[in-house]
Amino acid sequence: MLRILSLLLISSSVFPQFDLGGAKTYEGSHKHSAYFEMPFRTHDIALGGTYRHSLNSDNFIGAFVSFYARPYGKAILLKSGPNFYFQLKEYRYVTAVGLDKKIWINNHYDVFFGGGVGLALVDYRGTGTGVYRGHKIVKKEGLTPLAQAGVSYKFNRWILIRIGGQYMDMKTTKSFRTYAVAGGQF
Amino acid sequence: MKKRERLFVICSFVLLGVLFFSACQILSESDDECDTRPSNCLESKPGMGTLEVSCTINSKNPSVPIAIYRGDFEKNDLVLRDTLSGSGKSYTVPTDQYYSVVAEYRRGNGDTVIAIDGDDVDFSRNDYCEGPCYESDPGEIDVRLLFPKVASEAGRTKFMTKARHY
Repeated sequence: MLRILSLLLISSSVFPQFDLGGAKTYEGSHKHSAYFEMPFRTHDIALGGTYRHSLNSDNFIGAFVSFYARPYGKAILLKSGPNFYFQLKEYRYVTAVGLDKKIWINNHYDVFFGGGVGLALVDYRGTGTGVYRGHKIVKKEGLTPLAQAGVSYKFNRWILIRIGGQYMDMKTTKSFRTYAVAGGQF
Repeated sequence: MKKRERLFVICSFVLLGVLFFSACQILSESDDECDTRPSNCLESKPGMGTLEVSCTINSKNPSVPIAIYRGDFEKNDLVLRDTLSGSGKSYTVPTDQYYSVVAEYRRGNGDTVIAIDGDDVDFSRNDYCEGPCYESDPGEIDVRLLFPKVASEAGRTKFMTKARHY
């Protein structure tokens, strides 16, 4: 297994697509992409993954489905009445679907942008939706728009990284995050 | 060698190194050898474990009332109530159980903040030649006051829920 992976990495061309036509051909014959993703901002991080399927190789348009989870309980403050607050440790999960488009620049770089819709769910440590002294802990969940854009760098035909910005309504924290990705197209 | 080719080769070697290290670990774990049990081994799983509670003591809150519940607090399965005058305290509680803790604070402007956290109290199992040993995995509860300023000062008004009374 190790030997096969070594050969795959070392033998792959550094110049995978020689021109725009080559890139379109490659997009058409390798419709599947998988990404490991990490949207983050100060004091907040999520880990997740995306599967992308190429729908139109001439225009580099694809559909994606994503899942993100915050891997720790982030402290948040919820107002539940005049002068009454809950301080909670929040896990947050987002499942999203959408469309994206890549703009080919050269052999290594492309710009991407996409949008979609997601469902944001939460889980609190120590409580579900409890009521304390007449004040209910409200779960801030629901649909969220998703927008993301950035630039990709391809190491070879299979391996790429992406960096950009991502917007999702996170309900209890700020919505704009930096978006870092490692993945591949196969 | 061009700069980007060099970068690619470096990345490849880093990835190969990670794969090689992982493969070695998998091979060593699958070996039939086993370690000798340490002298301080707990051979059977204890029935009681530790719940460590951290809180904030300040001028507005010289003592903090807390309540420890078995499971989520709304199930109302109260284990004990206490008033903490230090920044933390450990409790001995039955193991294999999820606990939640509710702490009540006052802020300078008259706000009440209810801090809630929860964790499991458990023991982890390690296998040795002579048999298993159990290691304490205490529950760690953080009900420190993490938002000491009033909402408008903290700039978090946008993210607060609307008032709902029940």
